[in-house]
Amino acid sequence: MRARATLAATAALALASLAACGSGDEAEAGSDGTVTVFAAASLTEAFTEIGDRFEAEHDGVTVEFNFAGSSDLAAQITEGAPADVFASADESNMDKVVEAGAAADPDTFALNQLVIAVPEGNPDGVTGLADLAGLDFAACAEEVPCGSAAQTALGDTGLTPVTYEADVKSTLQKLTLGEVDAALVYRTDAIAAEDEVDAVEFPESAGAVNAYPIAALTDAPSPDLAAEFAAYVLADDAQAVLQAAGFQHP
Amino acid sequence: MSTPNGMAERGLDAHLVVERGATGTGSFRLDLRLHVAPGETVALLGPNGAGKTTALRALAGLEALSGGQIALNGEILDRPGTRVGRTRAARSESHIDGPPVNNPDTGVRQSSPDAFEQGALKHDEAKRRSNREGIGSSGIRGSSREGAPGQGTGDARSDRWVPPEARRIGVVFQDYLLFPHLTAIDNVAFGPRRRGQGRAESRALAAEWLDRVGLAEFGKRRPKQLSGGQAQRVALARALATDPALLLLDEPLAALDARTRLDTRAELHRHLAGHSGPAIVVTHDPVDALMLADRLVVIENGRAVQEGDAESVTARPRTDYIARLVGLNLYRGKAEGHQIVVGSSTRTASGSATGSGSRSDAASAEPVGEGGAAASPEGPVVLVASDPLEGPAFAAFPPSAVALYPERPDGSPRNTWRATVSGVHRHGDNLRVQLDGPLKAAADVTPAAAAHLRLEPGREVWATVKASEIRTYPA
Amino acid sequence: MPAKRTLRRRRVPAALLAPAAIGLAFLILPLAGLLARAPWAELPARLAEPEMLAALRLSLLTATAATALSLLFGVPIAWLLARGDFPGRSVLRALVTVPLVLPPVVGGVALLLVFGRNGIIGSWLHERFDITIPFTTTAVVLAMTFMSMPFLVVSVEGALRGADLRFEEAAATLGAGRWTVFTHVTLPMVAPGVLAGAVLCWARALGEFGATITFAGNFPGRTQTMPLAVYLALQSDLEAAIVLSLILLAVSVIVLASLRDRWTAAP
Repeated sequence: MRARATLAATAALALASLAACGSGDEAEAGSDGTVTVFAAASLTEAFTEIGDRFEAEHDGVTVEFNFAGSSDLAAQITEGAPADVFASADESNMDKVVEAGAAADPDTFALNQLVIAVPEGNPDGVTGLADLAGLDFAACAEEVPCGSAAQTALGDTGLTPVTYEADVKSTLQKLTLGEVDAALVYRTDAIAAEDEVDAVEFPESAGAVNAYPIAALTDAPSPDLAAEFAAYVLADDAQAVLQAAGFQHP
Repeated sequence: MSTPNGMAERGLDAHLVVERGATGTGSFRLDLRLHVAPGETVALLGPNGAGKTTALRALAGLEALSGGQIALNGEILDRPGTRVGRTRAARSESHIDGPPVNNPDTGVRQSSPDAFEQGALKHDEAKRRSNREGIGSSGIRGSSREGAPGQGTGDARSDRWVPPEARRIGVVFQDYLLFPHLTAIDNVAFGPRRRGQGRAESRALAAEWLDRVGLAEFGKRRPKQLSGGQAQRVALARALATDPALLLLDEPLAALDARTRLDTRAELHRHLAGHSGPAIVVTHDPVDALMLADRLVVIENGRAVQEGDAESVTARPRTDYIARLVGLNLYRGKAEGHQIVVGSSTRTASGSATGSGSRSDAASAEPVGEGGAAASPEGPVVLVASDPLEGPAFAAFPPSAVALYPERPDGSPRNTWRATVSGVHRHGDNLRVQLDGPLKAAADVTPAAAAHLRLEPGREVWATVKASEIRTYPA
Repeated sequence: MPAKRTLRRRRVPAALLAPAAIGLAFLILPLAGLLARAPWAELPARLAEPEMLAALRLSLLTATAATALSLLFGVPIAWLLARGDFPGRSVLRALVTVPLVLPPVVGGVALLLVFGRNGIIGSWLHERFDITIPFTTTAVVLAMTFMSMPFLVVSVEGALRGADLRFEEAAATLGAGRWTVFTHVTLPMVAPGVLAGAVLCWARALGEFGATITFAGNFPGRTQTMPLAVYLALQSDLEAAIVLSLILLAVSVIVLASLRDRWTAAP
């Protein structure tokens, strides 16, 4: 545990600039109406919208976001970055934060399911996983949440992607550049790129749903606003926004 | 050898014309005819910037001619077409842009501020390279033009260019330019190998040559591990190992210290004597020239100003440069029987002290004596010599022939004049006195005599020369 | 005299010493940080992992191949830039150095636009020969070559410009044609510059990440080089990432140091 903490300190050094953003002024400002939310990159569009609504309903409150990969955010939080809320794209990164004592009792606020993204018009007529045989397709690497989901979904089908991308955006990019015929991506990402790609649902993805947990942080500079924002995300208004973006209700 | 035909067929027969830069300052023109018989060694002697190295580079094919031609044993190596205008301009253009890669005259680096070298210094690195490219691609240019025979005018002649690698010419460069990444033996074997011999064969030949220059044990050394004299000998062996039809040496001894120079010079002389083809030594050192060469060609400003064997050149110098080198007072004038009227009295013997008032570089830029007889502000001076002569003539006498007196001597010397001492400095065991006056001259006196005369700058003395000491010859 | 000279040479001006010390600290401290935090106990286990070994082998192989390609094409480019006399040479020189300033990911995308399935050349290769470059080891080598060749070109060009052309003239008078002059005189004489360039090139190729992951993707054993493995490990396991980085560092330092020893040992 100790080793882990010191290691994370190294990471914090590397991420010094990001950490600096959330320190000092904002910590002070938090007490008079700012809530700082560390959220997974895949939540960028939905949370920006939710943040606007939250501000509209709370006079004098400002919501500040730090969007990044969940693992980066987890490292920053465990190293003491002054965040109020953490919204992770997977449970394992939330677990790290909880283990480090920086959060307690996270709630799952959204589910994200994999789809098969294909070029618009579905030229290869893909209807399910089996159709991927003989096609070049891209998926995320196991190390990132969308990759572990893809791994689960593919199971023992024997299908292998031509590339394991570092994140879901570059997985999708390989499709939009035309280098692959299909890509296993989150439904939310496919919807965000609906001008260029079509999303094909497949049943195997049900067993590999990604859960998005949210938690107010123990050392939140604005504990009240933190709890309030976390609750707001779980409530109907925010849920509608998330579902419009392609997330599912937990 | 006696027929002109024979001259053209064997040995080197060259008319080197290299033009650089537009007319005006910075322009340079070399125009030199050279005939070197097989087995003969010719020294190109001249001051810095005279064009010696340019001539050598043109012969080696490192620079293309703008005019004239080079024929070696009857084969034309370089001959720009004579259909004037276009080809010729195009040909010389790539060389106008830049100076040769090394200093056009290599004796003293970049020190002489004459027009040519100034021009050379102005050019930047890129131009140097472009010049080099011009040389390199000359082969292509030449051969392509060869395909188009000169039609039209009757006296048109076809263009010819043999690139350096195809000329059988050995060159010993001033800094030797031994390849630093190769051992001595591999340096020597480089030429034979390139000329088509096998690896073992080349190395055997190289070993033989190293042995011949007395460096049999040094084959495994790299150039850095060789002394100056050794490097010079390796360079010589490298040039000779290709069995060149023509041997060129650029200031072969200039980089050596005095002692090494003495030994190396003697050895070089031996090898030159053993070389059956023509050889040309470029040097600014008269001793090298006299010791190594059968014949001297003195060039100044791109032209030959005097030619002949060592004896005639040193005994009868025709230029101020040579007069200074061999240590003679030289005057040009007009002979009428035993009398010779000289006006241009700036010719002084070598070793003139700096600041002695006899700086004559400007005068030496022209062939000597062209200034005419009235140049002396004090009016013409009449010298009397023992041998009669008529017409334009040179008069020369050594500084040791000049005697100095505090008062006008009573005796019979025919040549007596008043002079002012402008400088005194050591010269061997004696003192050399620079004299100003109607006849600028150098005089050698013993230290005792100098003390007796209380010689010091500004002192007025009487100078005399016996008529029998004055050598006169037609100009 | 020589004693005096060495004395003078040895004395480093304080004005240089201070910034040099700061600069060195800046360069070395992060490395020291990695070393201090490395979970040494895990090292043997990591070293034995087949995935790690595959990535390491692939990295060494592709970086070496990229260096070879860079030498093959980069040395002629350098020669052209140093010795060629043609209009637009300075523009060409600037273009050659574009990959130095290009964000590597953009470089990867640019490569996809040319060699990708829909790329200018890639589509032709795909249709005509059924060859696809992206997601292959070839793509890794191409990405590395694209990003690292400029280092070689710049280094060799500098060496060529500094070379004394008179040696080439001497070689010509000894009967060497232009090509022989190049191979037997020019190249050996600029060898230190070529080697320095090759080392830079190799090091850059070894560390190449952005263009590789974009153009070649990430597939263990085929396109997953060490930097890719490190990056992905960083997503889930910081310690693993540090261990992998240290292994990459150690191997490259050993390779470069042993090469340098061999060069300097040569007489």
